[in-house]
Amino acid sequence: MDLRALTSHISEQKHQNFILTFEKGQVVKRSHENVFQDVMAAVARLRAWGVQTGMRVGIFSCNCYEWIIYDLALLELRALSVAFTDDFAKMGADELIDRYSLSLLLVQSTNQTYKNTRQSDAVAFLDGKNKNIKAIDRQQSNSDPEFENTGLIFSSGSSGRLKGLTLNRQGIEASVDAFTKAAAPRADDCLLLFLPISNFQQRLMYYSALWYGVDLIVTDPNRLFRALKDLHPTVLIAPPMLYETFETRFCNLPRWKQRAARIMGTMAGKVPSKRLREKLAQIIFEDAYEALGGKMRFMVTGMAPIKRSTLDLFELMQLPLFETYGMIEFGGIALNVPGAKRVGSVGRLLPGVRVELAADGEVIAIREHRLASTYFDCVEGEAEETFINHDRVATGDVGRFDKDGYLYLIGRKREMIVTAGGTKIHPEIPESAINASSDVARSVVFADPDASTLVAVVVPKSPQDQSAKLRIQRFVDSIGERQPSILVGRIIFTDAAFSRENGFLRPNLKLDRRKIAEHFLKESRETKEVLARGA
Amino acid sequence: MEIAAELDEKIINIVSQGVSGRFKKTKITPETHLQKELGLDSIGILAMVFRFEELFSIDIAQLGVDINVAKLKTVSDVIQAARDILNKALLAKQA
Repeated sequence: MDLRALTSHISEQKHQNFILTFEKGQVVKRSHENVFQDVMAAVARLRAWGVQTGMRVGIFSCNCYEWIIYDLALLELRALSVAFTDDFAKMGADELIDRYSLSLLLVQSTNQTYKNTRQSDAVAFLDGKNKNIKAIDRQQSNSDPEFENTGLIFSSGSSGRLKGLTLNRQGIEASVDAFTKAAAPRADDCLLLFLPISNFQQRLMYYSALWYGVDLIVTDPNRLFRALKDLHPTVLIAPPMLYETFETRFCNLPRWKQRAARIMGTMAGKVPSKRLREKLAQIIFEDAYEALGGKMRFMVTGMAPIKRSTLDLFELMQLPLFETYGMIEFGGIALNVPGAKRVGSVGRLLPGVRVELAADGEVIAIREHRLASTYFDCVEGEAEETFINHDRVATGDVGRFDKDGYLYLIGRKREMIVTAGGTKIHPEIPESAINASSDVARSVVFADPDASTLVAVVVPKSPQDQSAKLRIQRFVDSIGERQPSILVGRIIFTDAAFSRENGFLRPNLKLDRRKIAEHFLKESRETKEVLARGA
Repeated sequence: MEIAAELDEKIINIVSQGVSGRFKKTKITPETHLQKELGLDSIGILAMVFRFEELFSIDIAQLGVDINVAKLKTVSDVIQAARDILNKALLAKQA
């Protein structure tokens, strides 16, 4: 693709595609022809307001049709978009304009407070009437004739702090092309986007839909389930928690119904004809199919690890759920696809991507052009640590390949446990062994500072069931007997949820093992002290 | 009074449908915290809102109600939001 020609490409497409949105409770359907006209009208408006090539224009808005239109208009004008996430909600318009050297800030008309600012002439409504808008001319010379940097985005990193990234046009194009080639979209496909468009992954997906001619549904998360059921998408990209919701619903069925569905689902899975297999699954798991709109053919998940039980359930239901792996700094890295899928892996490498495994197993992703050229607003040294060369990114993930080229992620480099005995262990290895117990909902493993063994914080599936705890203890002991390197010396049982609110999950939904370890070790020490005092 | 109690029961039933295994034994009362005590994340709460729409055959967006999932912290918040929505729906029907 050529991002600079995206708008003209839309107008030249022969197949009729649409963008569907919810507006005031109604579904609004616009053809790509309408999209082209709306983009050109937005270009004319931006020009009239004084926006020129190379200027920075901020967008701060929830998901809406106009977000896409102005994004495309800025590409057409070769102006730089600065996409603000919800994290900026407490920052005033003046601060955004000054801090990021914006020439214009686009907001939704519901955000009237932004119009009462010192630089209100430079604040325009995406979706409302505007009067006397004037972009700030910062007298910047255009030093990017090829439009290599298309804008700025923000992403929450592992440290929990926001990082700014400068987008690279050729990296975007390479990422869109690679994903689209692997996913092989069809002319009758319909992609549902519900995560914030300010999250760049969503924009990548609509660039792909618009360039390759696929219908698009854009909604906010509040309308997600209605959009799934009523608008019948065929492609969905969502975090694991969405798919886990389906598993929860299934597990809340009466036991006999669950058992019957599992038996029938397993039998249906053995039918040689794919068509018949799917038909039977649709009957057995009617509720799940109906909730997903009945036409789903490609569901993708990534962003955080998904539970194996969820993947297994979707497999049983013949619902096509695929794991992917990527990094906002780099773009997509690997993807499972129909016909090339291995449960537990993140798939094979996308076209144009190479991976080298460093001596410590770290995944070093390589592609001619990365999605982001560099960071801004980051911790000192972070850019140098991540962008290790013009074409490579150090992912911080530790992985391995199987003999068929499927990539498996086995941990984070920085989370490597070094026991008092000096053994280096990725926590995911003992965690995965413990999670194999049918009594365990989740476990987190870390080094015991007082011993050479490991500590496991275990969330049992039935926290009140004392016999289950005994079974877990025996199960964990047996792992240590088989593999002494992952011997767990102490189990701390808990029924606490791991969430972002209690700080046990990071903003990117990954476990904050350091925090979990600190919390439970402290709790365990205090309990010991109380017991000692009582003795 | 009876109608209100019946509605509360229906809402608690909707909430319980989204509660995963290890939180199932938690007794659901109006004070119960959705995330901490029932393990419901933001998408779980959205699914619950949609089940509510389906049960009462209403479309919240068409009523012009803006649901802020982040503000639904306890079962009591959900019950109050449900009452407000159903009142609006009733008024819209009468109009």
